[in-house]
Amino acid sequence: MSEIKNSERSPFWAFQITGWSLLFLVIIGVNLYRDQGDTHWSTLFLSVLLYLGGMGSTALFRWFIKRGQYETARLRKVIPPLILGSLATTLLWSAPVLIAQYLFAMNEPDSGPFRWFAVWLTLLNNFFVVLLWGLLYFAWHYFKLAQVARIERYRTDAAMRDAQLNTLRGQINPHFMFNSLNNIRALMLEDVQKAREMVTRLSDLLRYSMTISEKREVTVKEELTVVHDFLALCKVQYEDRLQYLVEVDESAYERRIPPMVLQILVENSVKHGISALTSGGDIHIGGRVEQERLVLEVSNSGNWNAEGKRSDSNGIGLPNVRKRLKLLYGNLATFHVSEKDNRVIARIEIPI
Amino acid sequence: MSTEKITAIIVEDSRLARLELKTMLEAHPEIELVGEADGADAAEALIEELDPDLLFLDIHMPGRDGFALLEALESVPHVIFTTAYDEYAIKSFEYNALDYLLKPLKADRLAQSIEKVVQLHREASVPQLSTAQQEFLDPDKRVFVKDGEKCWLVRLGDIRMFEVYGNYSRVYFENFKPLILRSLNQLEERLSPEVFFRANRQQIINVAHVEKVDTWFNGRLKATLVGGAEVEISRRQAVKFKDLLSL
Repeated sequence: MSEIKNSERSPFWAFQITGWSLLFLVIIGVNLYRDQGDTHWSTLFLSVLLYLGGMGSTALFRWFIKRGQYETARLRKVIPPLILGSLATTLLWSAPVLIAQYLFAMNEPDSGPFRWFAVWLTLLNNFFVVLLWGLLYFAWHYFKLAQVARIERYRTDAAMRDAQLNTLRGQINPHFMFNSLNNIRALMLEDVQKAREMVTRLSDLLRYSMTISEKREVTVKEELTVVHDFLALCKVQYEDRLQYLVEVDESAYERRIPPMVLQILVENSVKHGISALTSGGDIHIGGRVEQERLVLEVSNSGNWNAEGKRSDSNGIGLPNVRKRLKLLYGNLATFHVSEKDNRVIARIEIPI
Repeated sequence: MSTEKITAIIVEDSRLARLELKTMLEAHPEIELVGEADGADAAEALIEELDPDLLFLDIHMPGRDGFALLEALESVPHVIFTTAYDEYAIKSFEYNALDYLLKPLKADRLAQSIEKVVQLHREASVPQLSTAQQEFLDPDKRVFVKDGEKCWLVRLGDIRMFEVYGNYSRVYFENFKPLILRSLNQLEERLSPEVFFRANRQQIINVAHVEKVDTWFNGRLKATLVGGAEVEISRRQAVKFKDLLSL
């Protein structure tokens, strides 16, 4: 959201100047018509004062609204500052005009007498103008917000669709799938029971990746099931070269995460951490709740720099995770990849 | 010669994938499996040692991949790639009929590929230059050349010329001139001097591709290769060249 606001120049001053100028022209026009060409210079002076004061005081009002961040606040919270702000703005705007009117009345009797009744009328009149200004201001911002929300929704949808495509095309990658099938074929020669198990696991994995993309979030437990299937199948491919340990606290099981996020991290670990090393390696998957945040960590043996180069060619995984977390949680979720003691650690934190 | 079995090595990181291929090869008695390797390093040593006729080669392997292995080899046997999903990688071989099998393997596709290798092997087994010595590479041997995204398996005999290019050498064949990471001196040591002649400091030419020879200044010669390239033969080498041709 902040991106959109920053990238677009605010049209405030264009509206502000146009609006007040139109009002000024109307006032001048009315005065000229009323006085039939015999307009006193004090009337013109007052009109200019009204014009500049109105523009200046409402600009201050805007500063007050922006500082309080009322533009994005709920309607109920907006009403008190709107009314109080309008009153203050009215006083600020009216005071110089009224003082001028008073001085004119004192010094130049032919400009008309000074009446207290007129003061109240001016204040009331100005209050309504300011209130109208405020309503227009907020209406504009609500309209913008609705528009931004709509764009955000489109973006989320598009990213979800991307993710769907990736799940089918990139994430459950064909390489993995066909290798698994080939391995299972060979496994039938030596361990039929295990081969049967692997067929079931592969089916579960495919089913998950095909149906899950319709959901916005899944539980950690659901995602772990598929991660276990995936790792079991990888183990058939890499045998002793792959070791893995899953240590997720039960307190994290029912927490919700975007589907395939953990799976993508694990797959990435296998791709870079295991399949790139001739001697193999190990993967650790950790999960826990820490200070009202769900923390998920996937680490693998290996180095990050060496992978950086590699991931140029097939780096759909991590950017996809990053994008989806951003879209679903804004800045509340974090995602970092780091290297420590020859281990690459991918860490996600999601607010609960 | 043709009744002799074709020796083969499987290079594949997954044990089960090797088992699968081994099992399928049982139906092909003409192939004699002489070794297995689980990675490029093991494979390179095994190939040097056993000099197999055929390589079943997985492209994706931990460490060096299949292409890197081929690049490291001095000469390349027949290769059948095995891959789960890499058609794009194989497509870089658009200039060579190079065979590949997709996993899971299909028995009839495997049979076709083997049939093709058997055919090629029989043709190549016709005795070549009788003078060819063991210490030099046979002109029928093939080398793997990779230039950026493109790869070739070129028969040595089809190469017209090698040319110095820094630490590299430029290889001229057909319409291509990719680079390989070998110096001209390294190449000269391994190339049969009856076929490949060191014309000067910069170039080695394939005598079989020389179309015309003219005398040039100072006792030098000028050889014109098939395709039009002109190569100067230094005075020192000119004598040897005349000897070679008159032989």
